[in-house]
Amino acid sequence: MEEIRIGLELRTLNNLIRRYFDFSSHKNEVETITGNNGWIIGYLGDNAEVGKDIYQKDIEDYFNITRSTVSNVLSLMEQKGLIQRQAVGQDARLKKIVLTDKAKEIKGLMKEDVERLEHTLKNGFTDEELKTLYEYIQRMKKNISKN
Amino acid sequence: MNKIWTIRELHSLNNLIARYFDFSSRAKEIDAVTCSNICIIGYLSDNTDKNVYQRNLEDRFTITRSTASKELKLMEQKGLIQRQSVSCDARLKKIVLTEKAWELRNLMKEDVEKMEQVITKGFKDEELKILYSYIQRMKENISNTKSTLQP
Repeated sequence: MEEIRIGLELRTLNNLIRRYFDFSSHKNEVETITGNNGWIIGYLGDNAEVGKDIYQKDIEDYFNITRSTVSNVLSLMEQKGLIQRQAVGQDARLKKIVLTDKAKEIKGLMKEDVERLEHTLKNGFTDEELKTLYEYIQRMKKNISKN
Repeated sequence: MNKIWTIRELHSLNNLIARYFDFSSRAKEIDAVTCSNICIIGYLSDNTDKNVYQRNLEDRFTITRSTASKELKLMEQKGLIQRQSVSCDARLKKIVLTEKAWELRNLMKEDVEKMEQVITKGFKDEELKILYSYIQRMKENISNTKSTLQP
């Protein structure tokens, strides 16, 4: 066996995941959505379901993308009519990000694809193993963020 | 515990790794060398005992033929690789590293090892083996179903 290179292994796994979506069934319907838009719509939709407000900062933290990237992506998503930024209460600087109806429709289509892939990836894994995997990923993220 | 979204977790972890590498890599400062260039040089230098062809790179990095082809053309232009005909079949070209690429390789080796150390800090050997086996299982899972999705 070659020496274990976790960084490289994760990279190739991610390539496979991305390609899976390129071939997925609803690609045409969601064509205007770039990769990152899709992730953000999914994240906003999930949090809306549990009634949690999401701000730009939450997206930066969750996806580990920089402030300037998130800012650009959100501006483009606003132009495409996928999100709105709504001021909350007293602090006009703080804007929560909400999905438009158009984005919600797209999310419905994507959800099927994402769930099928989750199911595929986890095939044969026990709950215990998934917990371990999740814990390992968090530890690696923390390791990198500390540097 | 919330429902675990493996795909998203892996996606964000990968963002972190790529960004860390962008900032910390010294090899990358040289002559517009990209992350993928670096991975390919690393693979070629690990496999000098056998001939490496484009196909081997496609398999190793799970990249498509057209991506591999473009990537190699650019690397040739940058003077990092050469394609040499093999006596038995003129269509088959093995890929070899240039002197310049070997110099880069030494810098890279340190970069990659440092990144591995950072990522896996605090992990026991046993845990790394488990993690590696999980990644292999997920890759197999996804590769086994791909055929049903393709048009």
